[in-house]
Amino acid sequence: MTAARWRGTLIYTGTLATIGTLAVTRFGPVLGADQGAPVTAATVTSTSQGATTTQGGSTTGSSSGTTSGSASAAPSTTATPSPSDTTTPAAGSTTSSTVTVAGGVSQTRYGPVQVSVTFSGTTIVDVQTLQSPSAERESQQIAQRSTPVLAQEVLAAQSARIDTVSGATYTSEGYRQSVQSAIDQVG
Amino acid sequence: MGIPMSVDVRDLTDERSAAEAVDAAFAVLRSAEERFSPYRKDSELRRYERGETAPSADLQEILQVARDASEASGGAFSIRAPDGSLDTNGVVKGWAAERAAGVLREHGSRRFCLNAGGDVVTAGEPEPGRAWRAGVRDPFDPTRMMAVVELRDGAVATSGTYERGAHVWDGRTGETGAALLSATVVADDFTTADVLATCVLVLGVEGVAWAFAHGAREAFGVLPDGRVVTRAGVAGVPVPLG
Repeated sequence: MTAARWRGTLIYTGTLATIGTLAVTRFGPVLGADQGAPVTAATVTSTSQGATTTQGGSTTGSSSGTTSGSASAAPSTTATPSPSDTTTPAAGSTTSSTVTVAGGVSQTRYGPVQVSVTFSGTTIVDVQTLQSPSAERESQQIAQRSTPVLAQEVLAAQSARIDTVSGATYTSEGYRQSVQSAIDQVG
Repeated sequence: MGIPMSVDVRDLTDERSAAEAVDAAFAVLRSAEERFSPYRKDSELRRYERGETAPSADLQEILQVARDASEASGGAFSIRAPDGSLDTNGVVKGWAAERAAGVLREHGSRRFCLNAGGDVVTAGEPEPGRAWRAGVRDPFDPTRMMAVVELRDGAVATSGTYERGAHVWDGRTGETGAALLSATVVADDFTTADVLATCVLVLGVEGVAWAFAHGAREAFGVLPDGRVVTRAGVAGVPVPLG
């Protein structure tokens, strides 16, 4: 084990909420239920307590698993989801137990990406690709996977405003190249 | 294990007590590595395996965690490696990190983030009003995150083959390799998250749903072709927020 780094702040802030709140945040532009609505980028937050989170100055509201939000950094265009290879309900539709929202189209370095995310209550239960990149040499590689991991391919570590990185266990070599080491150095 | 550890403590009121807490936490991790390493000939694990020593209380605890995980996973999780040797790394990392977190708490910290080689345990809030944010790495690109998990008290563990290759095995078949490229589990404690993540990796698509029945607050994985697996097919009435 190496690098016994620590970072401490000297501020004691009194009583802290230590409720074990879990939220999985999915980034990416999302549509509201109305497909014709202009697409804005938003942060999707699933929490068990309806707490709001802020990101980069924008605010989100969490509701019953659908998303609402205001603009954030990612550019967005009017989305036209192509349902060709999905088995999820059409974007924005609601079944009795799940809600599916389709993201707007993100322009990633590999090409356009669009996903839909299905929620049941506060839990993400499915992610489908609606559009995936094509053409470029790099994106050929990616396109051979049936989908990019999530629309978050645009999400570089610094944009994600993360405190730490969870990934498959890395060796010291991997660590040096990893985002975690960058975080440790910045701290 | 040779695994880099990162600790971020936010609430110990002076540098010295924070440093002491972190040193003590690291001592726990180093000790666990020495005692339970399958690579060191004279580790406690190896000596136990050769019958040279009875298991210590800590080793008994680790073996019990392994037994429980093996049972729960139908044998997919196993500390018996394909070559027949004992390899408890799938349990020890989480167990040791949980102990280290306990040491931080004993030293008075209620706001910290401990990252043991990609597995994360958190307590409290880094800053008032917001949770810790653990990015989950894109298996295909170390500079990108596939998701962000927000935690106050809890743990996130990711098991995967994209860093160290096929270092996991399926206890049911003895074969190395895994059905998923990566598996991420969020749970209340680190040991649970760590063990479940390994199980899900081996179990594959079915493992994601299985994990929820075994203590996972969240679980998802990535298939080798890049598709993301989440808990699917959940029926019933959505849980209202608030």
